[in-house]
Amino acid sequence: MAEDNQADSSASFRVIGTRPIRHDGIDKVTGRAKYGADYSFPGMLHGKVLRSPHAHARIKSINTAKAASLPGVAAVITGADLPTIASRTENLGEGVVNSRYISLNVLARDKVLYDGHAIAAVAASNIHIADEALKLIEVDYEVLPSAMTVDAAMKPAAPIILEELRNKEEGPDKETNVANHIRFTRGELAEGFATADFVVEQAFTTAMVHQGYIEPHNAVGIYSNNGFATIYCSTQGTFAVRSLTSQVLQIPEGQIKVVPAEIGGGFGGKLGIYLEPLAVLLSKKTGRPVKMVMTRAEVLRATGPTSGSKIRCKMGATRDGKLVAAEIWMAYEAGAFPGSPVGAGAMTIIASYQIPNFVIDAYDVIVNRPKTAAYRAPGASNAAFASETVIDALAGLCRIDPIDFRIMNAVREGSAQSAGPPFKRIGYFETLEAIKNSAHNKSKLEGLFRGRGVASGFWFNAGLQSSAVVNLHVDGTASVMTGSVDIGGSRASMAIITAEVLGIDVTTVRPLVGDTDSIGHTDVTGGSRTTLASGQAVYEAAHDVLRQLKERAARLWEKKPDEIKFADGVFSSADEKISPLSVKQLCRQLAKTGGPVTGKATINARNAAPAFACTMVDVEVDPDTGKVRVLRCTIAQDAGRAIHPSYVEGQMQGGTAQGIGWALNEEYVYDRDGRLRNTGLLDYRMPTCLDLPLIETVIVEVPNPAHPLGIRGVGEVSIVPPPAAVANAIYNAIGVRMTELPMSPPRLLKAILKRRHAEAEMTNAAAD
Amino acid sequence: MAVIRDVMPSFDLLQPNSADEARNILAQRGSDAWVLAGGLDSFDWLKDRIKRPKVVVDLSGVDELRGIRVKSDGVEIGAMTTLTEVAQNPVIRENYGVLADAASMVASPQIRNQGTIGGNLSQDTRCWYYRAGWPCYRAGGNICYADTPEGRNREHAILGADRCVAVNPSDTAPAFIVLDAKFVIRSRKDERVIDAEDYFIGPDVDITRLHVLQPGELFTAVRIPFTWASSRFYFEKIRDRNVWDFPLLNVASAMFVSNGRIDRVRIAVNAAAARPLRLKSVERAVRGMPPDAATGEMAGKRAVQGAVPLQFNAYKIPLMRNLVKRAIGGVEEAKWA
Repeated sequence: MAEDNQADSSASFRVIGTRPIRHDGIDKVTGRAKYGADYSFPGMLHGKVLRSPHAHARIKSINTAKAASLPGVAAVITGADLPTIASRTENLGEGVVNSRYISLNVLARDKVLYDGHAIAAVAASNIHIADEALKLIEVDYEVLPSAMTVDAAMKPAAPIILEELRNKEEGPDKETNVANHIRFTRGELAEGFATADFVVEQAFTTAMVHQGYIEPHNAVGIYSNNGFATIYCSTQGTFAVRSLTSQVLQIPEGQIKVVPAEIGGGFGGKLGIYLEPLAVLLSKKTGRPVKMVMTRAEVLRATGPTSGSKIRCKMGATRDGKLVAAEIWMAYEAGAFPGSPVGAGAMTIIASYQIPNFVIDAYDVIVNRPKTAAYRAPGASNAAFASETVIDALAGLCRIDPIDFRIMNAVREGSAQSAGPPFKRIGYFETLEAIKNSAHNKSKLEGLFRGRGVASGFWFNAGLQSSAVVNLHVDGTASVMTGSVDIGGSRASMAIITAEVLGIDVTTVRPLVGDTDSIGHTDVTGGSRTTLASGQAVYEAAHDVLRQLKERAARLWEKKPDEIKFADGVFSSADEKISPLSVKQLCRQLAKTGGPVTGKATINARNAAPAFACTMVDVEVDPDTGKVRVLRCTIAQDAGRAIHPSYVEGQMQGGTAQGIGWALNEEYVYDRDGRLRNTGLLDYRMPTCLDLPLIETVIVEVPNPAHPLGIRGVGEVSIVPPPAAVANAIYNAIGVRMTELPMSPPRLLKAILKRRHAEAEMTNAAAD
Repeated sequence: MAVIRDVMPSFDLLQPNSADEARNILAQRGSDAWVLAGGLDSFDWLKDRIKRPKVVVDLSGVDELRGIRVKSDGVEIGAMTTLTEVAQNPVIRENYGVLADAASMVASPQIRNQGTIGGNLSQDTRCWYYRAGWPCYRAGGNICYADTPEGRNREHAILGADRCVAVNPSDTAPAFIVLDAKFVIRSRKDERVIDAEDYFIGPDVDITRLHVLQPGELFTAVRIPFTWASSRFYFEKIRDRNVWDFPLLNVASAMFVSNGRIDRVRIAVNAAAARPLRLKSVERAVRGMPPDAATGEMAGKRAVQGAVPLQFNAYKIPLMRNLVKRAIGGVEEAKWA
């Protein structure tokens, strides 16, 4: 049973591990599924947001009178309409958020802090009038100097972005842009490096990138006269939207209902709120439903991105390939408010290796860019780009195969984490072995300017709270409701787990996603937690149903419940005179044995287990142009247990695709004065199918011993290795070590020429 | 900052059925009229409200502007012929491979199905300041935002800049130049036929336009003589991704080789300047030389003489040098490892 939390190591499953068609698939491919922007209500108004054209400016005044008097405009709101709230932090599953900063981000008050920062919102009878009204809002700015990079923001005389910000180190009197400094240490650094035969030190820069979900942010707010608000939106967490909106608007949580729309991608970027409180407030002011949908330019300017970063990474190894010391300095752009994922970056950067001596210094730095949001294993890809590149260089100096070098130093069960308790059962070694034994690794790579690289990734995965209800129907079919929004195929997984426990056909299980009034609290779909935590709640709820069915059978047959056997969907008894009953047959007897049966379970999962991935990439580099072609790519990842293998593979491929985009093309391009230049998907270059090879997947299953089904969580770690793997492959191809992302043709060509120039100078010097 | 509204503004939409009708409309409406071909350049301008024409003349119903016709002295391509049709046409593939290659590398399959040859040649620059509606030189102002210390100019010009540093983004333009194509331009009264390379102009001639088309004129067809048919062609486009993106730089060449020597040659690059550049000095320098690596190196060096990088586009100089090197000397295995 579930309560003892022991993995079912017999692992003989009937439905788990099969690949049924996803239950929500037909509605999605035929256009019937309702996404956020599809919701409309009678009398509905349309809202738009006025955004700052400046990276950093004081708002001297805002005059909305002209906009408000435009025919068709129903309401105009500014930051003055929002309550002022004190700092309060909350963990959403992918990092801590502070509701005060969320409020300041939802609508700016006395200052705008980035290009795109929301200043005011308008509700009008149609979107065009709302657009026209925005132009009539007069804002008087005093433009301030901006700090766009961590280097600029950390300078002694840097412009101060948030006057109220302090950090513990610098004390209560010092204005600063450094929100936090985290340090992790172990052993003695100097002694460690003294034992090293090889030391590699490199400085890395990574660009700010966006999650790139295709569906823009959206919300419909409906405020009723009785003080209750309903929000329809696409989000990764209905309860997070409820909680944050409650805090920003100071409406009790119980008076807000959030209904999840289908979601067209989130990747961490839809954990928070942007439009939701505005739609509710505009609805409150107008008495009508208000719908707001962002444009792509708004999405890029004002939502999502994850941090650009600077990382200096120095590592030492002995001649025989043992890592002995690491010294790391890392600073991440938080955007305009604290909360970059640098902490997770610091905790993951060398977490995969047993290193006896290290110092990691990590800085969370605010800059005049959009407030960063979580992005798939937040902070870990930046970090791994640095550490996995340095490890590749050390393996080369030691003349050890890069996979073997990683195997030699890999953490295993009982190894200390760089920050945290020792690892329990983990699958890093098995993941490396899987890549080593892959067809890809065994293939020979031939041809000029071609190279192969590997890199690994580590991610914690999250547990958190979930609720599930299984509802047995009279015909023996079932529905299963959770509070987890389905981003990556979780409906299919919930149906599979229900069908597995109840012994019924998976196609007869209807998986549902409840709104905040219909299901118990459920944390976000994030942190790779959904199949682990909501899946466990479903598993327990289905067992609750099973327990009740055994009681019904016992009552029917006048036996004790523990005399009832259940196997393959059939209830039976040792008494041979009693003919067995299927679930379906027993369901017909429910009315006369006590009424309907529903099962429920709620959990706060504490059994999350880390995920590891290793990715191998072959590239071809054109040294005349700097163009990189990814020829082949294989990822091995420990899933713990693959409930629906196709969706596990989908997660592995999706994260890899995003990682390759991050590696090669994606970047936020700001003017020197802080205006975002590439606000569309032509210039913000996400990879297309023509930029990617088939991404081959190897699912490794080292079951999570603390989970009844052995699940670990698969959603995130796949994005961690690609930047380093591609960089290592480029080095292997042409001997140029790339330390800057993205590795686009102009950048790579520059690096190639620099290297040639240095070589030419060395040759000339030798000739002299 | 352009506010992308994702909806059309209002304008008078006129949909002529014939080229004559189109020319009459254009003659009457003059500079109020905006000619709509495939719409791929136009719709951005219109939706973004950066260009506000009163009248849009949609050519999609003018059948006589479509199609590829083989004539006694060459091939004529109607201006409204799609890029896909050009890329897949057997006569063009057979005789003018450089054009088929160039057309097949424009944007994406969907865009090539919709985009036309006339549109590809007449599209405006991609400079993101200009397209965002900033009041720059090209928009009638007196500053170039891309060429300021604050500006971002990775995709801008290394040659021929004059106040404005925008570049022409067409992939097919250099191919037409090396094929010595003629562009047919008609107004209500006249027809003029101009050399491909003379169709395009830099900011020194007119800072507000990339080509010579005047209000009231209609680009009706491209005529390609057989002069360069089946010569040795080269086309290469370098872009960030393998689809959608405009060129960081492209190169087209055509040459006849006899007795191992370059006999006749034409070479052009685009996205280096506000107009596609025919590299006449390179053509002169390589004539009589073997089309080998050494000649390629020399050609590449000569091609970038006088190039002036901006803050973020210095890579374009070695890129152009290397593309010209390959176009003349062929892609050989470089001595780099």
